[in-house]
Amino acid sequence: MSAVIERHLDLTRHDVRSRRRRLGLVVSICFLFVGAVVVMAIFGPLLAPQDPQAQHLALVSADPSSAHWLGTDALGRDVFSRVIVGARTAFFGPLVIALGSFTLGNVLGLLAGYHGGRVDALIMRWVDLMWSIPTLLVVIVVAGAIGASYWWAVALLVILTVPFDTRVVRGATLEQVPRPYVEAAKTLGVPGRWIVVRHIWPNISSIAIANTFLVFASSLVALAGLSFLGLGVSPGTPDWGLMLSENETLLFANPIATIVPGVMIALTATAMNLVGDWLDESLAGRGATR
Amino acid sequence: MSERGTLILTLIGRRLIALVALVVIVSLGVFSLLYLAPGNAVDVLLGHRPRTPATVRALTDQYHLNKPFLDQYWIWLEHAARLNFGSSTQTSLPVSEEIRSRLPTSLFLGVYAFILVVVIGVGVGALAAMRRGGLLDRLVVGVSVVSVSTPSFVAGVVLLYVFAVRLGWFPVFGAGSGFAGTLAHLTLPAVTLAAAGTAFVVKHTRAAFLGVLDQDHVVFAKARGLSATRIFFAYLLRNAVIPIVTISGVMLSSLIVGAVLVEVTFSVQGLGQLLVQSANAKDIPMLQCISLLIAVVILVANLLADIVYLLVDPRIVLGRR
Amino acid sequence: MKTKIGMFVAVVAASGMALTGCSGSSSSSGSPKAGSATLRVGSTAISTLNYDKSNAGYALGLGDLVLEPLLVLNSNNSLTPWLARSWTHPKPTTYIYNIRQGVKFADGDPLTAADVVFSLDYYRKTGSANQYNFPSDLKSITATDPNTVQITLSKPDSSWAVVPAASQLGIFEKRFFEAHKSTFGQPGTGVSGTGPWQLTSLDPTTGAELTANPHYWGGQPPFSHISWKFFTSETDEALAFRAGDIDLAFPQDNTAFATTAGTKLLTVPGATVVGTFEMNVLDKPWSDVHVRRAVAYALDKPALINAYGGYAAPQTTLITSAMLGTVGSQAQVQQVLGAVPPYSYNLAKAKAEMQQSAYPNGVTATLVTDSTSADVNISQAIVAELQRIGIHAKLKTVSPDALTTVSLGKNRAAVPSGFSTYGAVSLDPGEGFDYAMGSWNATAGNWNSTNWSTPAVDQIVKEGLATSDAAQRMSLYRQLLIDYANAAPLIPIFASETTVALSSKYTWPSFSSTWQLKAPWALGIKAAG
Repeated sequence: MSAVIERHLDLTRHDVRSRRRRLGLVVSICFLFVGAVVVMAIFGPLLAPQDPQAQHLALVSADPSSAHWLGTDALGRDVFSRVIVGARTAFFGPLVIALGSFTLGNVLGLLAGYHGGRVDALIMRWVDLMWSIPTLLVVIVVAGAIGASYWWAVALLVILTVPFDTRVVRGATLEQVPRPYVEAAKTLGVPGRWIVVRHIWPNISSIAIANTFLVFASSLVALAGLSFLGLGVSPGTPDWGLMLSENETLLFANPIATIVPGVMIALTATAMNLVGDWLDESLAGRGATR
Repeated sequence: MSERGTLILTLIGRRLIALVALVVIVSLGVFSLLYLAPGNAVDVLLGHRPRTPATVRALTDQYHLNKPFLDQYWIWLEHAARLNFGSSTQTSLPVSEEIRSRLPTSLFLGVYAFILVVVIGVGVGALAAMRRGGLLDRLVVGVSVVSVSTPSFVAGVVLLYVFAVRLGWFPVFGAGSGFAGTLAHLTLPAVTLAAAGTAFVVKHTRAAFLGVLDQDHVVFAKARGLSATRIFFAYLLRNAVIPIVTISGVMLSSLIVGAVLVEVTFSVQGLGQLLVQSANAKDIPMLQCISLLIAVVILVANLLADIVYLLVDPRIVLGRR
Repeated sequence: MKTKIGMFVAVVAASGMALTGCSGSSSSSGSPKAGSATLRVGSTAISTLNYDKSNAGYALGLGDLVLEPLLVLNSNNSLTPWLARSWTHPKPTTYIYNIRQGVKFADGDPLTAADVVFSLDYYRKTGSANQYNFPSDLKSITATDPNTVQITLSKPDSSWAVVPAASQLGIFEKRFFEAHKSTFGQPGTGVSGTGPWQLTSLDPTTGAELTANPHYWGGQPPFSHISWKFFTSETDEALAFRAGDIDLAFPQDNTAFATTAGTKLLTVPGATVVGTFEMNVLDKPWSDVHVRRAVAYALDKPALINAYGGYAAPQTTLITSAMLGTVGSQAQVQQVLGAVPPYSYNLAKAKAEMQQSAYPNGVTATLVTDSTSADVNISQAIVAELQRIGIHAKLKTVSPDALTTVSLGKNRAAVPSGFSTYGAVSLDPGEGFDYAMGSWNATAGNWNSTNWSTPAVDQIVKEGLATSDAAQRMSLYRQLLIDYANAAPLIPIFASETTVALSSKYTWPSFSSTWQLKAPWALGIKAAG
C-alpha cells in the first residue's frame, strides 16, 4: 500500500512553478500574523490590558464596551485579555508536538530511507498502521479512560504525529539515496551515520521544516478541539478552544465572546498552513546534488 | 486464472489476514481500557451506583472480574463477536441498544457529508484545474486552505449563529424525523463536516486533473477539437478516480473524527456525541464498544479502498523500490 | 461538589411542592375541558420509566404524569388525599391508608391495595435507585384488605408521614409488571399507571408520546396529547423553544436558557435546593474552625449567585424558611432565623478569623467540582474570593458521576472541599436534609460530606424525628441551625429559584416551588387568554 501511495503522491507535485510570486503578499501577511501570535504567546500577560482572570461578577456576559473591548464572559472576565493570553496554550502545546514529532520523525524517516530492507519494512508497517488511526479519537478515548489533561494530550499527540513526519522524511530520503554524491560517499568509506547527518539531511531539511508548519497547524486544531470537548486544559485557563465551548451557551447574549477565539484558531492555523505550503512548494525542486 | 488475477487475490488475502490481526490487537488495547482507568475495575463499572455487596457481586459475575486477565479478554471478545458489550455505567442499559439507536443518525450524517465531499470536491477541483490560473482557480485554492485550517467546531458555531440567530433557514438542532426532516436538520452539520474534507479532495483532484491535462493524449485530443465535456468524461475522470479512491481512506478517518466535533456542536444524537459523553463520564463499556466499532469500520474501509485501487489501476508497482 | 441532583431534584421538587388549587378531591385543576390541545414539552433524555433503574423519569417530570402517589401536598404544603382517600395513624408505629374507590389504570383494570403494596415493595428493595426514600425502620407494607394498606414501623418515625407523597413512588399495576418483567419501563413496553396520561411511546433518542387516560379518576385531562421531545443539550432545547417547537421546559442553566430561548422564565422563590460551600473537616486547613468561619465571612453571596447564573436568592441556613414553616408560624420562623449568626460579607472579619487560625500567613487548599458549567463557574469565583483572605486554592474538575463515587467512597477525606448543591428530600425540616447530617452519615455510601457532627447535633437529629410536637421540633431545629452556624462546616450560599419556561400560549397560575409534589403537574396548565 505504501508503494502505491508513493506513486500517487508524485502526481500531486506537478503545479509548483507558477505559484511562488503570487503568494508573496499573502505569505508575508501570514508570517506577520504568526509573529504576532508568538509575541502574544510569550508576552501575553504584559500585553493584556486587564488581568485575564479577574472576575467582575457584577458585569457577567456584558456586551463590548469601552471598558471591555470584546465584552465579558460568564464570570465577568475581560474577553479581549483572555484572547491575548490564550495564545499561550495555542502556541506552546503545538510547538512541543511539532518539535517532538520533527525530531523523532526525522530520525525514523532517515533510518528507514537510508537502510531500507527490514528496518524500512518494520518502520513503514508501523507508519501504515498509525496512518489510518484517527488521532483525535484515540486521545478522546484514552482521556476518557485515564482522565484528561493538556500535557498528557500533548504527549499522546506527539506519539501519534510521528508517523506523518516519518513518512515525509523517508520519501525525501529515498529520493536522495540513489544520487551520485551518496554513492561517492559510500565508496569513499564514509560511515553511514555521517552520510545521513552531514550529507543527506541538509538536503531534505527544508522539506522537513515545511512539513513541521503543517503539523503545527493540525496540532493546534486538535488541541483546541480537545479543550472544546472538555478534555484538554483545565477549566478557567484562558484557551481559545475552551473559550469557544464555555461561551457557546451565551451565543445569543454575547456572540463576540464566542466567535473571536474561534476565529483566532482558524486564522493561526490558516497562516501556518499557508506558510508551510509556500515553503514546501518553493523549496520542492531544490534537492541539491552535493 | 490470469497471473494478474492470482496476484491480486494473494494481495487481498494477505491484507485480510493483516486486517484480522489488527482487529485483534486493537481489541486487546480497547479491552485493557478497563484496567488503564484509575481505580478498581469494580468502581469504574459501578459508576454512580451504590457500592453494596450485592451490586459488587452482580458486577463481578457479569464481567468475570475474578478471572485472570486473558480469560476475561477471551470472554469479552466472544461476547463482542455476538455484539454484547455489557451495560453502560451511565444508564445501566445495554451498550448495544444505545449504539443501535444512534447508528442511523451518524450513518445518515456521514453519508450525506461524503456525498457532498465527493460531488463538490471533484466538481470544483476539476473545474479549477480546467480553468487553471484563472480567478476561479485562485479563489478555490484560497478558500480551500481556510477551510482546511478552520476547525469544524469553529465553523459549526459560526454557522449556528448565522443560521439560528440571523436567518432561521435551517433547523439547527437534533436530527429531525422522517427523511425530509432529517435531511433538513442534518444539512448544517453535514456541510460543516464536509468542509475540511471537500477542501482536501479539491486540492488532490485539481492536482490529479492538472497532471492528466498535461499528458500527451489529452493535449492531442484538445488539438483535435474534442469538446471539453467529452475530454472530461472520456479521459480525465477515469484517471482522476484513482487518487480519489486512494485518499478516501484518510478521508474516512477525518470524517469520523470531524463527526465527533460536529455532533457535539450541533447536538446531533449520534455516535460521536455518545463517544464524548462516555469519555467525560468514564463509561468504559461504552467506550470499548464505540472504539472497536470505529476501528473495524476504518480498517475495513481502508481495505476496500486498497482493493478497488488494485482492481482499477493497471499500472501498480508492487516492489518496495 | 455536587450532590445527586438527578435524584434530588425530583425529590426536592416533590417534597416541597404544593400545587395550589390542585387538591385531589376537588380536582379543580383538571377541570374537564374538551382537551384537544397537545402540550409540547422538552427535556434531556429519559431512557426508562422503571424507577428501580433510573430516576430521570420522574426527575424530569415525565413519570409524574403517568404514575401517581398515594398522597400529595396542597397549597399549604400539607398532606392531602390523592390515590388514598384518607389515612389514619392509630399507633405511633402504624399508618393505615384507605385506597380511593373507582380508580382505574389506563388499561381499565381497577387499582387495588395489592398494586400499592407491590409498587412500594419494589421501590424499597435493596439496590433500587429509589431505596433512599424509605426510612430504615420501615418494617412492613401489607394489604389488609383490597382497599386498605398498612405500614408498620419498628419504632416511631415522623419522617414516614410524607413518604407516600413522593412523586418517585408512583403506583404502577402489578399485573402489567408481572407480564413484562424484563422490559418494564423500557421503550416499547412502558408502564401502566393511574395518571391522567398514559405513555404510548418512548424512544430515548427522540422523545415520548403521552395520550390522555380515558379512565382517569380525576376527570378529563386538559390535554388530549403530550408530546415530549428529548434534547442532548439545553442549548438545543432553548433553540427549540425559541423556534416555537416546544411550549414548556424546566431549565437547569437558567441564564443560558433564557437568553438562548429569548424568553422570560416563570420563577418562584425556591424552597428546597440549596447551594453550599462545603469543607471536609477531615482535611487541612478545613479542620480549623477559624478557617471555616473566615470563609463564611469571605463569601460574597450575590456575586457568587451571578457567577452561578442567577435565579437564586442568598441563603444563610441550610434548612429553608419554607421548611421551617411546616412546623411553625412565619413569626416563629423569623425568630429562629434571627437567632442564627448570619456571617454577612465582611473581609475584615474574615481576615481577623484567619489571624486566629493556625494559618495566619495563608495556606493552600484544594477545591473539587464537577464539570457542569454552572458549578465550574461558581467554583472559580469561590477560588478568587478565598484568594483575598490568603487561602490559595487549586481547582480540580471531575465528571459528576466520578465526584459522586468518590464523595460516597470509603476514603472520607478524599474530597477536601467544594461547591455542592443539596436537595431536601421533603419539606420536613428534620427529614429534608437528614441524609446529610449526623455522624452515622459520615460513613461510606452516605452523604455527610463534611464529616462533621457532634454528639449534641446527633441527639437533635434523632429527637427531631422521634417526636411530632411542632413547638418542640421548632426549638430543636433552632438549636441545630445555631450549632451548624457556629461550627460552619458548610456555608449555605443560595436557595435556587424554581423556574419553568412556558410559551405565551399557556399560563400556570398554580406553579410553585413544589410543583412536582402537587399531583400530576400538567393538570394545572391552562390556555392563556
